[in-house]
Amino acid sequence: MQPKPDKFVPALYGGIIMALISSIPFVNLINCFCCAGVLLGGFLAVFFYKNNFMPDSPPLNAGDCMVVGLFAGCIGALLGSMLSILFVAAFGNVMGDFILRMFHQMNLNLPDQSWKTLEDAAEKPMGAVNIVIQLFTNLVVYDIFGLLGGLIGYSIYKPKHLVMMPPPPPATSQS
Amino acid sequence: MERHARTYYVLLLTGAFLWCVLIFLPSIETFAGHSPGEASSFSYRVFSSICHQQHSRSFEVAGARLAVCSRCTAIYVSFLFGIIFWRGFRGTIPSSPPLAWATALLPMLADVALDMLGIHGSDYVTRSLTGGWFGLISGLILTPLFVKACSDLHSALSHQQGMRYAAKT
Repeated sequence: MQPKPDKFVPALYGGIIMALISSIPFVNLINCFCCAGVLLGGFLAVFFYKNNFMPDSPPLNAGDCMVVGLFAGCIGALLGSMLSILFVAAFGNVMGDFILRMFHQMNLNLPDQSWKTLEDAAEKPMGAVNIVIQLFTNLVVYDIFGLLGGLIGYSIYKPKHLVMMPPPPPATSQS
Repeated sequence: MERHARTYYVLLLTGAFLWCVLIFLPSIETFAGHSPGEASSFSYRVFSSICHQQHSRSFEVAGARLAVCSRCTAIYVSFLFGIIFWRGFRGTIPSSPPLAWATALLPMLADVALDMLGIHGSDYVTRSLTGGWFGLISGLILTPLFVKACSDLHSALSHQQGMRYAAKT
């Protein structure tokens, strides 16, 4: 019997997808929907992992899928944080500016302090401490949602149970 | 439920409960008589990457805005209920996983799509109901899978340890 396929490469693919979705400005809004981008990354990691199985490999199990999703979350958090910093360095905080402009257009009735906090967040560059805190938070959140994405993947791709055929009824001699 | 499975179930339940506590932390802080401080900031910060946190779409409890919007609050709280009650609902979930996920997702997607198209304006009630439905079904589907996944990992690790022990002796 073949050993189980490698988990790292599918997790890397899932993590890269996760990182791209989470760091590209405006595309990352998808994560406002319960981390849908991160869940998708975990799910796709399981999809790639499942595709590497051979007919004589041991069957896919829930534990493997959870680990693949967890790895993908870890990779996604690290790569995503790095890419976010690169995007902000290259293009500035376009998302922050956009959200601030949108809030101004909506004439939201926010306290002055909230406006100040929002403006500071959009204008001030991220400090090293903030980057570390953000990275740590992303590691925890992406791992949790990557793991759940992996389990969703398992629920879809789990091998179908073999249907046990009932034994034939004993032959009875009819006279 | 076997002993290890019960441990993994309690682990999941505790994690989901703490997650919900973190969402309600600003309200807990205000309810305890403190003004929103470090704990609330921490809570808002943790959830800022996974929710838009718009004031106009978030519940306010005990005078403090929750850390996530109303839809996310409904999803996470009902996910916790899904974990608590999954044994009671066994057999009610469609046996085909894609169908089960579609049943969970469609009402929420319809609410979002109809709101974006301007056909029907989503409000606190529709967001909470559709989000709650999704969270509940997700909890019911994912709880047994999480327990099974942890049990699979446990047996794989025990098997590896056994092999290593056999190789030594």
